[in-house]
Amino acid sequence: MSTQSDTHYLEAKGFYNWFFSVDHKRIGLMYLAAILFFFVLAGMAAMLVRLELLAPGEQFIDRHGYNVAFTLHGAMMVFLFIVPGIPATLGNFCLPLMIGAKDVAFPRLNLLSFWIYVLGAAIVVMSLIGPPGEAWLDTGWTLYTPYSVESSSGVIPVTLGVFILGFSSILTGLNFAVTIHKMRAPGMTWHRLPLFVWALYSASLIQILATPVVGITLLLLIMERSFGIGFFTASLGGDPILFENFFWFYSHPVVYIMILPAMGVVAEILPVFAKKPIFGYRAIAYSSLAIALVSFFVWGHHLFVSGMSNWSRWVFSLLTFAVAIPTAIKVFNWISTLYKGSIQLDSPMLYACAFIFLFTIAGLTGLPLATLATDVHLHDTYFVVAHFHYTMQGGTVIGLLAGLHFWFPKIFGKMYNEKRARVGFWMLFVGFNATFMPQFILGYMGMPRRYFDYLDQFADLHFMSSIGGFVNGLAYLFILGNLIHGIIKGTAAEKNPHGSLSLEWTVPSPPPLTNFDEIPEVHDWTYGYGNEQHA
Amino acid sequence: MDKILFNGLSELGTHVDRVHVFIIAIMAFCFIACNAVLIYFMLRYRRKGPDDVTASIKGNHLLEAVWTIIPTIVVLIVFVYGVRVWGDMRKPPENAMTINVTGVQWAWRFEYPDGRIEAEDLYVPAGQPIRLNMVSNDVLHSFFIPELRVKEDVVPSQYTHLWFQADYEGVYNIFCTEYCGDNHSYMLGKVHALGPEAWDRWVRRVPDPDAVQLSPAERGAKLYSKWGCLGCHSTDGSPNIGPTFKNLMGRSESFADGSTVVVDENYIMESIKQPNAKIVAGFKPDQMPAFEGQLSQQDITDLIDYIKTLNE
Amino acid sequence: MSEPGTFFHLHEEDPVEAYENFKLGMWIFLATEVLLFGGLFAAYFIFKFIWPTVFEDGSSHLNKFMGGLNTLVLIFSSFSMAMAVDAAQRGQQKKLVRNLAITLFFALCFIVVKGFEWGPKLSHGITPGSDVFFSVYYMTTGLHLLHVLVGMSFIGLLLARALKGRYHEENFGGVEIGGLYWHLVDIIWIFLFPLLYLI
Repeated sequence: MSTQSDTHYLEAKGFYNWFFSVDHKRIGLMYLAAILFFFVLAGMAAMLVRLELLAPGEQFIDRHGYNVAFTLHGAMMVFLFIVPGIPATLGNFCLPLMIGAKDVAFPRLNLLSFWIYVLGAAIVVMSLIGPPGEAWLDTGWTLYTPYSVESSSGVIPVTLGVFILGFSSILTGLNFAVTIHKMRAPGMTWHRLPLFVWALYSASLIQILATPVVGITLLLLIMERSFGIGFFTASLGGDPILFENFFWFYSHPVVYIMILPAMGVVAEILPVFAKKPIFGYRAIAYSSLAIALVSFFVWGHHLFVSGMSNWSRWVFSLLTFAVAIPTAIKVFNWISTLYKGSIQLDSPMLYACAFIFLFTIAGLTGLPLATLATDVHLHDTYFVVAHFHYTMQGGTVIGLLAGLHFWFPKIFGKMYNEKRARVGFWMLFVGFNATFMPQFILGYMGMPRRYFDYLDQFADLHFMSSIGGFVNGLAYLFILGNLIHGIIKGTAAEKNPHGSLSLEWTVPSPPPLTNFDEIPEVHDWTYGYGNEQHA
Repeated sequence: MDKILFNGLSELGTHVDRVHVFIIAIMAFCFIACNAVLIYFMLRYRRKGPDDVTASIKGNHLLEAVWTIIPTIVVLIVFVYGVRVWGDMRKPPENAMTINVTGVQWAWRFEYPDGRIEAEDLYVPAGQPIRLNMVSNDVLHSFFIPELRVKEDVVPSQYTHLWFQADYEGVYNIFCTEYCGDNHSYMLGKVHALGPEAWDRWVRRVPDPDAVQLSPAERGAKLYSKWGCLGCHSTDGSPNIGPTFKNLMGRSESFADGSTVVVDENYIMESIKQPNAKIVAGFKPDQMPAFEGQLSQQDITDLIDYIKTLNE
Repeated sequence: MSEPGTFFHLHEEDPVEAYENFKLGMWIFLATEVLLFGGLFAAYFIFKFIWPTVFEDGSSHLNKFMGGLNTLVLIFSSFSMAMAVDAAQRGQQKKLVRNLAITLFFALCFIVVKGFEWGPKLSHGITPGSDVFFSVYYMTTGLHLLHVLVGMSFIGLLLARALKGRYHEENFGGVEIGGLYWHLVDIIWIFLFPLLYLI
């Protein structure tokens, strides 16, 4: 039963030893494989969208096909890739190691949540691409009523799949919250916790509190379509706008489920590669909680032009601005961490710095969307598209890649090719900005989103954006190829190649199955870098 | 290419663009300041060797207080500025001309006070404030005139409003910006702002004999007698079983529980569909049948337009 | 073929630690349940505000007697569940089995009464699609019914395990957590009953 520390978790082979494994590291790795698979799939849908938008008029697919493509892209990216994203992969792998525990609080529940994810994902994918007799889903990932009640496509199975995925998300959040509360090693006080753990904790709270609300919303949508109940149907006294309210009550906090863990990853990487203590530890930790809390009260900014009362519009505008402050604090703290450091620009650090760069754009372009007078013009235009891609791709995906490169030696016990990793990084950085910078201008010009065809005046910028999009897509293939090459052919990694002080780097790479032979005792916080002699 | 901002087509649009520019300036400043420091640090403190001395700074309360307070003040200023300009966008001037807009998959339909119906092209006199009273016949739509900086969703069973004023003659785009199905990107239209003469000509244009029809208010008047509204609702101000329709629109009605409401299109629609939802103080409930499902959205809009004509 | 770390080869956990984790986990889960119903309660208040008369009218069609009866049934079941937890903590086997059986019986009564309530309504054409009140009514009570069913399987499992003598002074966590869940099901009904039937 007990394991020796010389057998590491990757040694077990065979389907059974993985698919029935309760080990958090194996589960994290299985999640990683699954979400990257859906990432590539959803990315292909995005390529199709950009292909179609190369020039005005019909290019490669017809208008219905286009609507299906952007629905596929959005639904798969959000529900299958980015929501489980960092917590279920890097979080699962690192959390117990970072707090000095042998596993999460409920290992079996952890496995169950992965199975539920697989089940939900299978249902979503099968029904997105059309079960026999049903058309491909074309409602957009937001599933707005009444269109989603009337659409002839497979709304019910997709909704059911997303509903099931919600359970997976709730269980992961619940598991992490209990783990962080109860499983910390002796001496690992709240104020010694790595900031990635703080970020995971805040994200878990959102998963626990927001997911049930979208659960009930989706259930209502299913009932609406199958039993004709009238929550969202105007002719029965229901209110189609209520769906929007319910939907965004979940889906806005979810943005922070996506971004908070990425912020946590960045806060781990910066001190290691700058050899400096993190600047303003408590401010960063508490601002994660503050963002999580405020995120529940800002959903209304998605409804600024939806016919909501004037009174609620300005209240939601004010509340939305409240999110800007903890976010700004984080950015300032990250940058200050670099001051008087010794900065090594390896690929994880490049990604972390790019995260800050892109995230300032993402955050700042939120200002005109939170402001009532300017949002009216920009609402539902390409400005919004660019804004949220800067948060989700420029923020979360870059954060995920930063973390993947950072913990790669720990996860796989191998090293990737650093030179190619940097080439991939620059390809992505250039491609990404070339895709979405023009879309900000398109937004100011009034180009609406989800348009299959557009007026000639928008053609040049769309063309630029498409070319950037293809570079963006190629960059991902290059980066993932390099990582896969590293798994197969990489050189063996040391225990602690980056010189980090965090607990996960005190165990061998890859870690043994039970993580620690003996639960470690913690005497200091995680960020005791800096070697300046005090007078 | 036309100027993206400050096209000078409407006064309100210019106000909005000032807010845009104000925020763009803030964005540019913050972006450049943050990233200049970031890149400077990245270059200045690059690792020279394994023995580099690094500072052990863990934080600085004064600095952290400063960069909490300053962003708070900045966003508050942006918020207040935004709300002020937006307030004007939500208040149509007194002399605004109301045009009914119906969104259907996938076209816009405009109905003028005189009964003229236009599809896709909205003709308005330049320099005249126009208020749109909008409702959808099917799914959600959104009415957007980018050049004039106005947009509002068009919702089934609820009237939504926006107003604009095109200061100069010209033709401007209308886009639908709420995804509504296959032809969403073809749910387009044009606003034609006409000069005084052209507008006159357009108004006087002899209608096609086949197209001669009643104005919405006239149709509403017919519905008023057809459905027997006059039995309970007078048009001369005298109270009957129900409140009078005279001067109803814009009147402040108070209810048994002491609450009050200023009568608008949505209130009248609710009272037609579900009369018992709100009972004006001094009247009895259960006197009027619910017309939910009996009258079409068009009928309700017509009745409301008729009621509007009873204001002095 | 199976190696350590797979489903049935979990590394050993400290029972006290496991019990505490389990309990905190259940409390968090209950929070998610409250929010699940929270959405419906929000819809209830919004629609009641918009359509007060539809709600008055719909409410008058509900059978107050049966609703009240079910409220009593659930309160008694909650009581017997509390007794079961107490018995488990004291290691009183017989009392535990008896109280779990009583709870299960009351839960079954609840479902039977619900059947008598829904049956005639549905056959008279009062369906979830009748109006917004009945949409709310069927949705809330239906979801609650689903929770009663889940709770019954939970209690059934506890009963089967209790019959095998699995619970004693040092291992009563399962019963306690089952009790927490059942009390939640009960409390949700205590909110639903006056909102739908009385107000």
